[in-house]
Amino acid sequence: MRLQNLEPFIMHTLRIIGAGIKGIDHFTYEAIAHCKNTKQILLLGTIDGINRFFLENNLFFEDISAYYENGALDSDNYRKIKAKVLDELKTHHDVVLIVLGHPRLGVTIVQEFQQEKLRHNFQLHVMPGISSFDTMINDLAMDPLEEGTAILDANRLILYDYHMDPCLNYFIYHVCSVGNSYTDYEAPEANNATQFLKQKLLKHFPYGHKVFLVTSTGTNNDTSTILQGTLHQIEQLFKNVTFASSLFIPAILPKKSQINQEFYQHMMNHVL
Amino acid sequence: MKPFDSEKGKIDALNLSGPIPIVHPRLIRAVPANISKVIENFETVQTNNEENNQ
Repeated sequence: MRLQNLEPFIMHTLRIIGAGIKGIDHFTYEAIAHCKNTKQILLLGTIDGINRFFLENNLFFEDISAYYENGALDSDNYRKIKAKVLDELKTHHDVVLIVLGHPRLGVTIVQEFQQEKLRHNFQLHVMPGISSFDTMINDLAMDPLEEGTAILDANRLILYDYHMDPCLNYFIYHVCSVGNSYTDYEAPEANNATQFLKQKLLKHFPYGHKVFLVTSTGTNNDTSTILQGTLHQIEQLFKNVTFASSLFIPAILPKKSQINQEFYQHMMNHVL
Repeated sequence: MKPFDSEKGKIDALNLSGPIPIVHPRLIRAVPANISKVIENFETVQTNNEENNQ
């Protein structure tokens, strides 16, 4: 009778940490705790101040930002990054992957790890971080709930031709890559098909509507840059687009005829 | 309405004298994963409509 050599079953652990936006100052205590309890730390992106902080805390990381290659197809980059993470998981069994911002906001590989964890035999823990949405609403000094807000990816907005309500505020992400699947962070304007975005927005907003290109900073010493333009001159605005940019479209106040009169009366009766 | 001044508004967001720090990577795929399902559903609905109309 032949005996099978059964390897012991080891459940791997992948911890994905959101590092926030403005350098190490945005790193959470939760993130630090996970970094201290893992076997291997991988960093995707540049975090101002992380080298010194990790040194002081006797932590080491491998920077895998080189896998995020300029000019490559985005899905190829993500595939390489995922393969690297899974490879490290096989070796170390417990891995932290640090990404910038919040891991659940516009991070395809986190979605894919979520779907594939059973197939690849690992537990997945995702730690939130301060997102670019958080920093933008702060830089714009606005409360997104006051008039209502929608957060959209530019390509999905155009592709699915979503209905837009001009009475909502809009944050349009990834306006650096309209109609472009390539990771062109060195020169995003070259292949940025902004005419599609302009055409889409003009279906819903007035020609002269003010729009703002908000470009986040990666350090706590600098403030974000907010450039104002108009919809009909959006090409001018987009000459300054980078991978750090999002488009903010402020809400237009609704018409009086839109008010739900019954609900309004109810609120007035209970407020006064 | 305030006109947009492209010279005044120009940003030098990238340090072109050295390797470009990846401070804000785009980590979402440009083409949504479900697009093929959406198109497939559309084609299925279209085929069903054509069959029903015959």
